[in-house]
Amino acid sequence: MTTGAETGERSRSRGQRTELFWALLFLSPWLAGFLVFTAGPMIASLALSFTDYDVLNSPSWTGLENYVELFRDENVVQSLGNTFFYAALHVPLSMGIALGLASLLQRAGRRANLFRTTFYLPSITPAVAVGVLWFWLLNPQVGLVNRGLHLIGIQGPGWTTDPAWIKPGIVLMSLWGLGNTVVIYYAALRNVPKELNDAAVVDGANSWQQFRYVTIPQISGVLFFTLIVGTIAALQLFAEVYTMYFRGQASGVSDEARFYIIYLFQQAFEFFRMGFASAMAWLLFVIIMIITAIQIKLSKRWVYYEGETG
Amino acid sequence: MAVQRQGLDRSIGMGASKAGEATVTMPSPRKEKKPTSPWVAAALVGVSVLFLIPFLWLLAASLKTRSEVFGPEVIPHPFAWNNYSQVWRIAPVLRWFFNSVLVGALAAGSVVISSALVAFGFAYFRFRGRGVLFGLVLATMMLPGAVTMIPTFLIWDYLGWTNTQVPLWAHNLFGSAFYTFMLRQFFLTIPRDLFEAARVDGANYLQVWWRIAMPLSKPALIVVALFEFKASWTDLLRPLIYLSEEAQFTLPLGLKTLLDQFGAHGIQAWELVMAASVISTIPMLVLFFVAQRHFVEGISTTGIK
Amino acid sequence: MFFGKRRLAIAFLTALCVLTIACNPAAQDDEPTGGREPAQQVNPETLEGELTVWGFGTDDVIGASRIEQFERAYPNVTVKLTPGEFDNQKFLSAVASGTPPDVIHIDRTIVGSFAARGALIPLGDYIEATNLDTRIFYDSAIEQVTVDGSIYGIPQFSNVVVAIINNTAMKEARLKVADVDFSDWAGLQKLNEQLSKADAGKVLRVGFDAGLPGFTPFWGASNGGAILSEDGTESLLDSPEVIAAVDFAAKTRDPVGGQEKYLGFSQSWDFFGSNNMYVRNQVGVGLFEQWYVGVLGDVSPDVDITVRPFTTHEGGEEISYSNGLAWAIPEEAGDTDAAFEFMKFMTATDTWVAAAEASRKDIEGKGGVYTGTYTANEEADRRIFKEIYEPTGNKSFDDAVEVILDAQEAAVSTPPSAAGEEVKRAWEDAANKVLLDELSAEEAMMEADEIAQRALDEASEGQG
Repeated sequence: MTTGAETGERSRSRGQRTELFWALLFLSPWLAGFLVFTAGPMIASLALSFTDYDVLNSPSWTGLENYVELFRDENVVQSLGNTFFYAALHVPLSMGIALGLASLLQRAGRRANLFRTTFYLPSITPAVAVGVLWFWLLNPQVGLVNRGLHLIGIQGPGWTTDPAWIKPGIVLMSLWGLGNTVVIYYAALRNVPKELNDAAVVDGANSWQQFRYVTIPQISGVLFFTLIVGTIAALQLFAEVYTMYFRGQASGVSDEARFYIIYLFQQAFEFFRMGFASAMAWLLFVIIMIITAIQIKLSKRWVYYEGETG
Repeated sequence: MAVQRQGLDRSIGMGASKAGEATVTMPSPRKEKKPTSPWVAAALVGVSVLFLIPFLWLLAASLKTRSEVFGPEVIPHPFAWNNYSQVWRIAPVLRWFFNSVLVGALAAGSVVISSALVAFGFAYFRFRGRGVLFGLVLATMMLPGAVTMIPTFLIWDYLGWTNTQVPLWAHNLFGSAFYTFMLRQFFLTIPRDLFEAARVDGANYLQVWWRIAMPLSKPALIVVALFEFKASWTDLLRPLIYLSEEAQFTLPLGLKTLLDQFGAHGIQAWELVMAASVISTIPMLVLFFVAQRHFVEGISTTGIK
Repeated sequence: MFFGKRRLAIAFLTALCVLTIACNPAAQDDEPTGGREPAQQVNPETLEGELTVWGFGTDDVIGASRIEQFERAYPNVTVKLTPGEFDNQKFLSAVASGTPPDVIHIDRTIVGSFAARGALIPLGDYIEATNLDTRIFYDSAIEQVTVDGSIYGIPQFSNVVVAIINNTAMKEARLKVADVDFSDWAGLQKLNEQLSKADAGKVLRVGFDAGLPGFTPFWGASNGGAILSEDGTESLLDSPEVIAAVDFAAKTRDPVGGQEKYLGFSQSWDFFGSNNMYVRNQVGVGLFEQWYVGVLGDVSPDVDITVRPFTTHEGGEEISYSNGLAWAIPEEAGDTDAAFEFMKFMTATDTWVAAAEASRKDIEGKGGVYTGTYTANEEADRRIFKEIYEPTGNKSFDDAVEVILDAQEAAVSTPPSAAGEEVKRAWEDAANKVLLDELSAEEAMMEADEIAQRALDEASEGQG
């Protein structure tokens, strides 16, 4: 291709420059959007986190005061604890159950369509309706959940009344909406070449070993993707819980159900403390960054990559 | 075109078989008609019932009379069909429905094109700072929206587009972090040779993207479109902030309005709220059922790994 | 090349950031627009304008009728309603961009917060210019919208607390309604024990439902205290009266086995249905807002109840507690003259009476029984119950009317403050902790007082 070192050098650098031009052209929608719609508000919120700002009046600079208060406010710590508790239960459970359901679907043959739709149904139900619905389903005395448990001889807990069971109740509700993940896993499983499993069978692997040593590595990239995205979403859970416990009458259990974003929302829009809310947001931002970084780092041990991922 | 198809098939075959060095052949199409084992069938039916019950409960509640909505009866007695006609009468549901369809279509359409463009930029080109820029894309997902909401509102207000439906979808013209990430992963699984071959044939990068990358990723694009349509279909916050006229409302905002008027703080007509919930869910359900073939195939070939 | 790009990008970002904050009009000028003089006399026929109203819908006849009346009386004023509950996020966004609606329909708890932050215009001049007699409204309602002597809102409805006694349960326990004495706490707790019913750990009836945490301020008031000082700047949550009241009210959960048991039971009530807790004999005596009597009348007209006023602990005088919504005009609203006319018209006695009549016709047209309309306008209430309402012939509900109207007059309310929502969260959380036995009433209320006081100080300090 090249005829001489010199021309090669020149043409490569010219090629690089045109490539860069094209790259920027392709990235231009995002760059423009980032500059116009994302960067400004992000920086604005960072700036506001150093101010006292009620939105109704101009912000006044308060330095690090909001950040100092983050560590003093017991509700911040508690809501963060609630959120971690939820995420720690929700993420692994939803991944595990979704994987189980996807494996079932994979063996369902032609009827998978119908079951797939069933599993997906909750994800398309409006969040507002989900919150209302589950508050009634989880009712300790007349709710369907405990009535179901009663049928198999279990005395159901106070999902919506016992402080110790509020969050598990919310996790239960959240698991109802894992249809998205099921569909993604199902698709990933379909992509695992049959030949690999056949080869494993020839080598004498039982079905658990097949699953563990063939299937899991093959879909580890998908598992990783849902882990990252699922964790971010879990740490920002808001709508369903807000509808369940914070709209209308005092529910009597607000402490346990007060998740981080709910408290942030209250600070910003009920207590008119947008400055403090911004500081809360940036604290969460940093936390999510760290968690994601750790997840990426750990992923190198268990995620199997096939090609370049950049 | 034929060459491209082959290329796609090959890429999947290669990608999938790399793990087991032994296999170089393409995975055989799954046509085996193994009968579903009774255990699997039983488990599927059981779990499906668990998933269906809450929705059926919603459906049942929407058909009960006001004084029975939260009652223990499983089957409504009597069937209050007129809950639906009442919702239909008191709220411009059809109008909201069309608004939702319009906004959803615009949101899905714009996000597919823009995200695919950006994703291709990240997947194909190699330049300094790419990693940092991509990290920035991911970082935008991590800041809670509650604190950027008002600054964003001010920008739209500055542009004079508040009180219109434009802010509900137009940000999608600039790509979305989530889909950019997803599509980038897909483009990475297409063999580079295909693009290079087209380049040699004299195509510029835009043509490479449009004529090769896009057709090859059609299923993935359908996935993105469906995901985004669903996200738009259930979005409440943006319509709430930006819309004030009932005629412009989308279904979720209309539903919230009904909830306010008839639910928690209103006259406690929960049966109407339930009916409205069902009305807003059904179209999405139908869409999913119809589109799921593409949907699933699409994800399976995006190779999100 | 890269360096250049980066610098350009940073410059761009900074510019945008500045733009974002600078184009926030609220950030630019705090100059009140109150300089505008209200028109002296407005002629409804010729008044022109376009009003954007947030937080009010025409879903019920009472609302729809009044909007209709307004449009007829003011043919040249267009009213654009945004239905659905008033939403702070939406409002703050609009205020930040300098385009608030003309009229907002908000909870009275929040009026103080908005007023203290200069987000509402004081209505004094308009009230004077149009000769509006604010004495037609219940005192408790007006007090809730009066900040530093200026009125910032016009009250719409007024919800007051009354006691609803389940006669069936009383008979079962061989108790007489006439003997119920709310000022005698020991007696009340005994009544509670007698009326409560449980079987093998399962609650069957709550003897006395004190309505905590929601009615915490009411309990404080009934014990001669208050949760806030009159000027709304000082939290009194840790005052002995409030602590003692919370302590007692929380103990009324003991006969059913505590808060958890209570919640599990009460969440299962078919509150709005025909199998509600009074029909199913699941409650003995309960404190509720008066609208619940209307609900009972609608879904279970045959239920056997007696509505009684609550009384103060010392002295045994009638007392109630009022809350509700109010109309207000945001700072920087477009057409304040028309906005005020609208608010005034919507809450005027004649408008209410006509709306009540329309509601009665509507209900009777559907074969229902009209149980009355309660407003925040005392004059309107008197006329509605004299001219429009007709005794239903059902003693339970007919006797309730006078009790409720008296409760409106005996009602107190929490004074407006700059941190109404935070104060509310503080006592709500505290009451929950007492109910759950996590803290004693004293500890919890001390803690709440600290939180509330800090919020109040911060909020008022911000206003300078």
